[in-house]
Amino acid sequence: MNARYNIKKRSIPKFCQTILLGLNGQIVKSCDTIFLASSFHSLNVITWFDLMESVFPSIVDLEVGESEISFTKIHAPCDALPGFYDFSFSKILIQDKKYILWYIYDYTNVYQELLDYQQKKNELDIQRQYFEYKNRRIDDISDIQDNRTFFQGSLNKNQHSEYFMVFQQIVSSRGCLSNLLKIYGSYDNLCNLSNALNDSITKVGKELKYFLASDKEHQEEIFDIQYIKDQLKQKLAFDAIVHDVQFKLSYDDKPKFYVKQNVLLHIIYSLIINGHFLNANKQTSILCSIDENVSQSFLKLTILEDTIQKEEANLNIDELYTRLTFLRILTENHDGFFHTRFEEGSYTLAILIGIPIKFL
Amino acid sequence: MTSKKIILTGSFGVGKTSLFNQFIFSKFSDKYLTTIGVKVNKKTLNIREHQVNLLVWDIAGEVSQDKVPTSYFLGASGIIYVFDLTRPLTYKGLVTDIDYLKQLLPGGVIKIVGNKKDLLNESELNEILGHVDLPVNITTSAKTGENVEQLFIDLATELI
Repeated sequence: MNARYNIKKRSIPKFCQTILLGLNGQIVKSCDTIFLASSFHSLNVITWFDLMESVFPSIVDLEVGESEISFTKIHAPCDALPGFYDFSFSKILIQDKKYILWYIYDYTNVYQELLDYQQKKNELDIQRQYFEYKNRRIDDISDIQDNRTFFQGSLNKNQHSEYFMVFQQIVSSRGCLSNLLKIYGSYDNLCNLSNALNDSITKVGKELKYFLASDKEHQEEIFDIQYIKDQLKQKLAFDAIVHDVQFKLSYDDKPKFYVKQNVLLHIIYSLIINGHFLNANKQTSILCSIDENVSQSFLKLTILEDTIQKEEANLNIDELYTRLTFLRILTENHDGFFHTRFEEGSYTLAILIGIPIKFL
Repeated sequence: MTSKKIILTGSFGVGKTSLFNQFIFSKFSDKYLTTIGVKVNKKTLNIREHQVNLLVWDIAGEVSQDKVPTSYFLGASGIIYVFDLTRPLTYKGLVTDIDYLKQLLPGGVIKIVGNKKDLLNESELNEILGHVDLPVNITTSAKTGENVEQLFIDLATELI
């Protein structure tokens, strides 16, 4: 089961983060799209992630090629992840070395709506169950009352006690109904609440149906590009990870990023994947090339044939290979395609990332 | 230090999250808040000179346990099955649910817990317990905190 197949089965999350974990629980790579996992680089994941502490042994035991392990609707698993997320874990092989591939899908908006719906539904169901139970007790006592003349004379002390208990249930039921009416004002208000709830359920159901629909038309319809833009803008502003950003949200402008060397990798893993959403002509091709000479490596980021930045990278080939594999997985996870080109006789390695139009 | 994964499960509105919050944070709220999916937190207990990290998974209530994603139970050592003492529908499927959970977690410790005992007097409590199809391990009140810590201590003691 490859990553491309997985994404087709899923709804489109607002954001997806790909993390490569070593078998010792340390983060090898992270695209940091949702949170700065890289900042925990030197720590074993089980020391800062309660959920991982309880499942890590099972994940480590996975074999390469074995079905992924998924956990859905995880609520606020750590401080950096305050929303709702799906996690999936699988074991992969890179250069004969085993890693754990960890995807985080951010479904906060969708699950929040589901939570609102579930809250109302459960509240009503609980009230209904209480009333059904109380009504059953009332039916029981009615039967007793019908036959009261028959056995009243023979009630002993214990029976009196039980009879009194049931009587209290009736009073309690009336009190319940009375309280409910106090809360909602009148029977009409209760009906209105019920109608509003039905409308809400229909609306949520419709949106979920769209969201879960696999055809392209619906996916484009619900895809909230403004949300992505806002989130990215917010992330850049608050995390201050990019040194000097000239960043325009107009559809006519190409995104431009000016970065310090030490944040270049973050640009690669995070901004490229998000950045393609910001290019409006829908013919985006992003070229990430690495020029190497004897003493130095340079990493060049090009969008639509314009070089955005060129920085010293200082990579060695093993790190590069791992990084390329990671980048390929990341791209495929976003349903993109990935191509590498080695030019014989030179030290140039080019990576071409294509993002399908439906994601733009 | 030993770590043990514990699952809190049962029907919706039975007080799983309230037990979770009472145990982890010593807090209780009268307001009912639905859980969807799962929330994980941990607390360390000292049991017979052993330190035990209880990793508690508070999962969304389902009428039937076969609707709970099986991956949630992966690596679990114990299950706390909670029902609402005041809502018979929450323990109607107890036998089926427990059979299912035993298959899912062979050899695991399962505790059956009746919650919301603060809403009942002793006579009512006894009557209701008489109607439950399986022996109830402990009755609790997340609201008052009665038996909540004891429940987790009992479970942790069996697990070490």
